[in-house]
Amino acid sequence: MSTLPPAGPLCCQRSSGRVIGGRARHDVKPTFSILATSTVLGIALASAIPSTGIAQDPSGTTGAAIAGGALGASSGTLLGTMASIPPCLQTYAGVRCVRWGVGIGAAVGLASGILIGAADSDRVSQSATSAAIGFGVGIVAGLALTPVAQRFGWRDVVAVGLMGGAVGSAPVGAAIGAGAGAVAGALLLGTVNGFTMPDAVAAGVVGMSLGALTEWVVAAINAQTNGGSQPGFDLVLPMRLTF
Amino acid sequence: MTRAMMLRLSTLWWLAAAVAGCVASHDITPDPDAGRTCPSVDQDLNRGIDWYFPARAGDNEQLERWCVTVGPVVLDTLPAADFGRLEPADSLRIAVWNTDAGAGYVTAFLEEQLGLTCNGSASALHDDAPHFVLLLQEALRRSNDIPDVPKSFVTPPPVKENAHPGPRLDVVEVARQCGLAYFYAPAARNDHKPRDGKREDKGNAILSTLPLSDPIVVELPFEAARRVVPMATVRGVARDSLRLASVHLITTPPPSRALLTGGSSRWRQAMGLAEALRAIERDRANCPVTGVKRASGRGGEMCPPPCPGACPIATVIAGDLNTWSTRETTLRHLLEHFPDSPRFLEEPTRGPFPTDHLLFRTGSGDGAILTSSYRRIADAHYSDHNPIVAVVGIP
Repeated sequence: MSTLPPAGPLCCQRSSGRVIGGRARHDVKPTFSILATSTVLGIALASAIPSTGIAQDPSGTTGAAIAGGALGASSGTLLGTMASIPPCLQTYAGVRCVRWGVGIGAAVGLASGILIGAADSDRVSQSATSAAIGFGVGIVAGLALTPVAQRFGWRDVVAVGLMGGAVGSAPVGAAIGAGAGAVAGALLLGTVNGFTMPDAVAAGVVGMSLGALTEWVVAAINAQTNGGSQPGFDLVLPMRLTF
Repeated sequence: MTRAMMLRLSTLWWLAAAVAGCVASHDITPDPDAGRTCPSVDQDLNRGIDWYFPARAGDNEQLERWCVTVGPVVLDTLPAADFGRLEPADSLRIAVWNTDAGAGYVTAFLEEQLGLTCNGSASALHDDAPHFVLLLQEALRRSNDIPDVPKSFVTPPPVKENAHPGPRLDVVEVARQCGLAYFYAPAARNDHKPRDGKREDKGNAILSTLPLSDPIVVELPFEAARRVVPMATVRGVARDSLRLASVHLITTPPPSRALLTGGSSRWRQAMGLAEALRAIERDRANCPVTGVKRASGRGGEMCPPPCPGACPIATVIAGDLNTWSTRETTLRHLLEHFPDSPRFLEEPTRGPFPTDHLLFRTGSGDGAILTSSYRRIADAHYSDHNPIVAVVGIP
């Protein structure tokens, strides 16, 4: 190895001390304002539903409203993340756009969960049960991936489990959404220039996440209008978690 | 709803939502973190190579673990062969290629695509072949200078190479056989155990028919794996004219990281690189450090004012950016830092993905990419990536 040639005209002294480049205009700002806004929005949404809103229905309980809100918020957060990452990362806004997706998903999930729990604790139990099953399926899938996927550790197993749980909390909507997304992706694949196979796969994931979120909203509307579940969008499982 | 209930719900929501969409800093500093022992003073830091590091402690903890498993940076700034100097009206060819560790047949690529006959110090360019700089990613180094370390999560398994004839080529050996100037910066191990009697690491490299100066290594913010960017400057007709950086951004981050960061891993690494270039330009322009307090900065850090002529030297960053499309946020933002880039190639260079790109910005002098020259090379020479190539005119 030879030594370096003499320093060129542009090779000058380094500045001493901790010199850090200025922050770009797209730099990360705390997400707290969005999170706080979403929290307030979610609770406000739930509170704003007139008459039957938060006023306790005989079949709902305060515990179920809390549990529904927690399950809805956590599922909505994850579903919002999954729905927003693929399209947002194709835009200039990037992660800022993702944050809004996360916030909106969380707010929608929180409001829906509170409304469902306040009116129909059975529906919350159903969702919790199917979310638990989804979590278990996700954990198994994550464990199966561990030996073959690079850089895949226990955190990733838990992450896949959590995603499974979020999808599992609203499985029918997720399935319908995934199908619709896949069909839309396949159609766009053949018709839109620059729309590639990865885009089509992403469309399926986005559809699945939006479908699951939609099921939360539909269930909340059903709970408020009928005080219970509505045929067509509920999955009845042979076991329940009760609150 | 009672106030207590609202409080509990808010707490639950915060716990759930606070983990999503968070992005860590991508600040870069020339000073190693207090906990860093690697790169070592003996092997890397006192050899005229400037290093730039992520400022965030969490990045440095991870990078340290990975760094100690690889061998030293290898640098030879002068070509062993006499390729001559850049003459007026000459252009410089820039080739970019992820070589899939040992699979890509670099020697054949040099001969067939860049017009180089390899013969040690007697190596020569074909009559019509211009000078070139080759920016390599997933370059393989085979050497027992690489430390013997046990298997762990920081010694990733070997890259799954495409089937290929002939030996697995060590980039340093190829550079020496072909009489080129070279700069190799390892990022990670290519398996913990030796293969055919030699330990292996992989990283990025710069091979050149022109002398290299001002070598720099930038460690990118840690995202699932360690990534380093070697940079060097080549001399044009009149002066040091073009800084080149060989870049390899993270592929798909694992699910936990994707959820935590909102999928911003590549963006964070790319912005870290942009920050590093800004700091490099400032350091080399002898900016006074008597800066003004950053208005929106945290902790009142001092930040020097921008120098006049913020980009005194033309710069190319190129490599495997692992983008899924040319619309990705990462590319859109990089384009702001490299406004003179040629139009992105839409053709896929890795499976169905257009992963490999070249970005450019002019300096205070002239110089430009000859846009019609920017293209994908169809023959992948047994790598899993197609090379890309462009021609630049520099003063």
